[in-house]
Amino acid sequence: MTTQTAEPAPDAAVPPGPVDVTAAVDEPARRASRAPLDPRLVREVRAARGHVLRTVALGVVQALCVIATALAVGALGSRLLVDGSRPTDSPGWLAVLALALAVRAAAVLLERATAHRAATAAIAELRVRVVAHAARLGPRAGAGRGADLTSLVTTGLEKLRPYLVGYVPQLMLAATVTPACLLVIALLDPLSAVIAVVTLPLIPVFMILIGKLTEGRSERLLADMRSLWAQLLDLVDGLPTLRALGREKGPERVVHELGERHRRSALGSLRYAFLSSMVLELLATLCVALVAVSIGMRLVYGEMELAPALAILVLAPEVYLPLRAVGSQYHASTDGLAAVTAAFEVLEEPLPADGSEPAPDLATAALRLRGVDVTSREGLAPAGLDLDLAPGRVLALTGASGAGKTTAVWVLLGLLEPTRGRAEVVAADGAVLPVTALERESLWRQVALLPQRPVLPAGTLASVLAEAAPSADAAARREAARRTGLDAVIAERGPEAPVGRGGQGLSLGERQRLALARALLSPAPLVVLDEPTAHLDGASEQKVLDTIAALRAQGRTVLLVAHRSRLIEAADTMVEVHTAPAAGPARQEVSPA
Amino acid sequence: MSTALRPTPDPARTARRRDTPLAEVQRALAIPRGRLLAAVLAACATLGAAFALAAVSAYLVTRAWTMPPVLDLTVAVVAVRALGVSRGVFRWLDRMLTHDVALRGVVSLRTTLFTALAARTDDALTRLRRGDVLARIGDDAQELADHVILAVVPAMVAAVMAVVAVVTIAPLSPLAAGVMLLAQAVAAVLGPLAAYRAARAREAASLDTRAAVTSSALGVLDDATALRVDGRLTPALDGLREAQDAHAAAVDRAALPSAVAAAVVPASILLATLGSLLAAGAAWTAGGASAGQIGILLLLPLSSFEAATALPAAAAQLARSRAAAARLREVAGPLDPRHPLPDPAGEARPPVAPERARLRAADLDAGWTPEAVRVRDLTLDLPPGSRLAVLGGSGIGKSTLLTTLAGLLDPVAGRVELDGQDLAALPPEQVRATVTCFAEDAHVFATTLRENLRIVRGDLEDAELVIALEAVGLGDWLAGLPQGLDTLLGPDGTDVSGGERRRLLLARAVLRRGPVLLLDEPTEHLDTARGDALLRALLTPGDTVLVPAATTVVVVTHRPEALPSGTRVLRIAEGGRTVNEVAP
Repeated sequence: MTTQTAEPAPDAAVPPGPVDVTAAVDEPARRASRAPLDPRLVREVRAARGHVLRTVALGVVQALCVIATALAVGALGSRLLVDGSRPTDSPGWLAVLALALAVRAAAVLLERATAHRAATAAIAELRVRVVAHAARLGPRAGAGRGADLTSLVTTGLEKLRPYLVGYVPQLMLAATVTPACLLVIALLDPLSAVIAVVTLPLIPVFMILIGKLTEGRSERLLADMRSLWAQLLDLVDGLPTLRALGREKGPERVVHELGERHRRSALGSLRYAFLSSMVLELLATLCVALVAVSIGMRLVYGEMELAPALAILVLAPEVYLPLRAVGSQYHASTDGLAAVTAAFEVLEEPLPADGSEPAPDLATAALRLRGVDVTSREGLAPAGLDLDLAPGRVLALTGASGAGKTTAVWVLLGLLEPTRGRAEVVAADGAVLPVTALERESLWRQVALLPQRPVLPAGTLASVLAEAAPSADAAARREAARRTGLDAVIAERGPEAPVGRGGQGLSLGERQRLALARALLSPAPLVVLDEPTAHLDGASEQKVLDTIAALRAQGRTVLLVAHRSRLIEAADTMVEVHTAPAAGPARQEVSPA
Repeated sequence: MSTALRPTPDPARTARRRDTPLAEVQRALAIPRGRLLAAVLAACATLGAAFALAAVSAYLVTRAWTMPPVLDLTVAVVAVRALGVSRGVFRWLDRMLTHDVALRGVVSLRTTLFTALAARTDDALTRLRRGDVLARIGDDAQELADHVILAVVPAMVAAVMAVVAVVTIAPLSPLAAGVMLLAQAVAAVLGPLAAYRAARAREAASLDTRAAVTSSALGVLDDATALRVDGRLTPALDGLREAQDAHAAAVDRAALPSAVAAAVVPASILLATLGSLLAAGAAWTAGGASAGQIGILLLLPLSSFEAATALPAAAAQLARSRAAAARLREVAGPLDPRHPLPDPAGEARPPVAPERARLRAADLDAGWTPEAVRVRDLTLDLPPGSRLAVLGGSGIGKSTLLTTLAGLLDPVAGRVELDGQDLAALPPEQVRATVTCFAEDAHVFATTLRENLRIVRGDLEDAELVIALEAVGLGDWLAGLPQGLDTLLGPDGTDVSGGERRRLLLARAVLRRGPVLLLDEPTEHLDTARGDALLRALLTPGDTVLVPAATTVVVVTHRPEALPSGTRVLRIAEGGRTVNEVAP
């Protein structure tokens, strides 16, 4: 029984130490919480809470089994050696032993079966919450942590599985089996308990010393891993480009060097990190050895009975076993906790406040910007922007590349808070409301937005088009398709041609036409087109101009982000967006809220 | 020489054909046998120390109970103390050696993978999505490191330790040894089998359903703004929830076998302990055994399965390793660990003399697959210094044509010739050095602006870079950058606006100064005046602002009205027919 509580989770991915280059662990995240169980996880994630309670209960059962096993082996052994009575002559103790071992196997079975389900549920719950929250944080919120957020929702949160399946149960065993075994040893033989109790506190002492020794090393290692990962991915991303330039041979030398550098630095850190497992093993076996020698010496002089001696010999390793297992799952715990911390870091970032006022009807209300500055990397883009979007008009937003045209649209729609200035809605009765005071949904319901890369729901050509305006009849759909040139796409591919999520299966131009047709069909009074002709040829460009004319004929307001002069000519008004150098020496990143 | 002509099967090739993907990927790890053996020995020493400690201390206590002279116990006491210390030391050694071997393997594997990816000539690289690359080179390569740490070394150690346990007990009681053998066999077979099943179930789940979860989650994050304004965020999140429910159901199939795998070792202990206990009873009452031996029989079964506890994890890892190896093999193609590291000096080789680079297409059909031919029956002659504009509707095959002319895609029919020679027959290095295709979606590397430009030629001076940036209208932008040419650019150009990015890619083409430049929509995303001016500079013969006069330039564009008068135009019509025109 000496080793069996220390099973590593048999099929949970046990990270083999900090080799995992995908770990996205923030340094602040690592410092934030050192408790082995993040209270937020237990408090807020239902599946995790149930799992913790269940593992505590099963831990108690296992502790009782360990004690029963030890006492039964002691009793059976002493009856055999002292009295010469065979184990079969003591059916009671034999039954206790068999039962204890069997119940323990059953407890392990039950715990493992439920642990996986709990982990799956907890990961799912956190992922949906993180994605939903991050999506509502606004267009610039991801800028600071784009890749981190991606890795959190893909691989990061999956690290909760080894944590919940492997680490948490061992932690609970350490909290139940270790004290229970110590207590029984103390009752059987106080001196052995003293030896165990004296060596036990050495574990945290050594751990702290080793922690001091490795301090800074794991941070460096993590930084190294992140940079290796980013550079590697960058090279792979750029492989088609490198191949086109005939430079695809050569970067693998960089890949090799990056890998070698990472290996050396990883082993440098591991050299110290593995000291902790060495100390754990050392203290555990040393304690067993000291107890065995002490018992042996007293047995020689007849100062002790055989039964308790045998029971203590079974129990002594069990005191340390859960602690060793917890130690061996250290990385599962840091990775898991880092994932939890990163998840709650996103969840605790306050959402930009939504307004409460219902938006006025955009068919009659005007939108405007006054003195809008948004800080960007190279200064203000846009800078000091004034804009009046009157209902039923077509307004083109122009300006040099990078001037902040799209950013201005975000501000106008209440998606982004400007650094300075304000976005307002002027209702038909002249009442002025800041966009931030509006209930955004009520505003966005009246807006059809076509980003540079059209975002389309999945379905078929016909269903994706119809979905834009469920109330529109077939004639209206045909008309919209004709206006935008989508009819040619439907004729070529058929109305049931599948459209993947994000428009996969269609070329960029075809996606654009479908998105335009959707905008034309939708009842939204305001249509925002972000560079609608960017990827189109002259003929398709004409279709866009036709669409804009059709929108104007319907009396709808159109906001264009435009480069091309033909597009600008289609507008009633043109507003040029300018940049300015940042005010003051400090170049600050835009804050999302 | 005569033997070379005889059609003998290449032994290396036939051997490779029989290999499983895992075997092939394992070879790519290129693990030295000596290092692996050292790691296994250290791990055996670790477990052996614990096993021996259990045996000797059991002997010590029961022997002491017979109250022998204390001197008789000295050896046992010393052994117990020594074993108490040695295990920790062996553990450290074992961890270090195993991780070193695994990390070396991953470095070698990633390098091989990268080489294999770079060498793929089909469109695998184009089809590869960013997420897939992340998964292959990241997670799957990592899986192979885990393969060494969790499967290869522990399996070898468990085999050694099972033999040690049986051999230790055999002299004491053949009956107990028999039961121990049975229990070890149960632990070594049943646990891994169940764990393997669990892992396969989980693997299947992650293949189908986890990919759906990931793409659904990333989809929401990528398009959050548009989804919110469109009022489609809630349905999109519902879609994510559905994907996760399907994933949970698939993962749940692994729960039971996984639990069985975990319970097999405790069950084996039950078997071994009871068997050994009954054997001890018989041995003691028959008077054939000493008290010390009885002690070992009583207590050792509890400590004999430490190595076996790692086997379910090893089996699960084997399942994951196999799947990972199959995925790696599929994406990367054949893996040859003997990747020659190329000579860095070769990178700055001068391009072929422009006056000899005559690009011709003869009866060319171009397309990604024979079923989807985009351009048909094209005959084209581009003497050195010619300028050509390619026009045509969106998605009609202009980029496909460019890719084919650059030799990056094999023609479906017909041929492309360079200086009278078939492009397909020329060494790729020579083709690339002569004909360069600048794709519209070319990558902006996450490095400095300087390195992003020098990627086209390693021998460029800063002054040349600045001139090129000014020529494409990025002079002001460069002046505004905090660190000039040393400014780091974000991955995929996210910190660079669409227009700046286009001009950056154009600056690369300008710096290439190669004999033939093929440019895919170089002025897209620029404001009209600036874009048209650049287009004119590219297409006017003899205009040397952007490209030398002797350079052949082919430009795909959507702006026929911006073409200089008299420009040769190739218009791709519906059905892949091509029409030669001259701009008015």
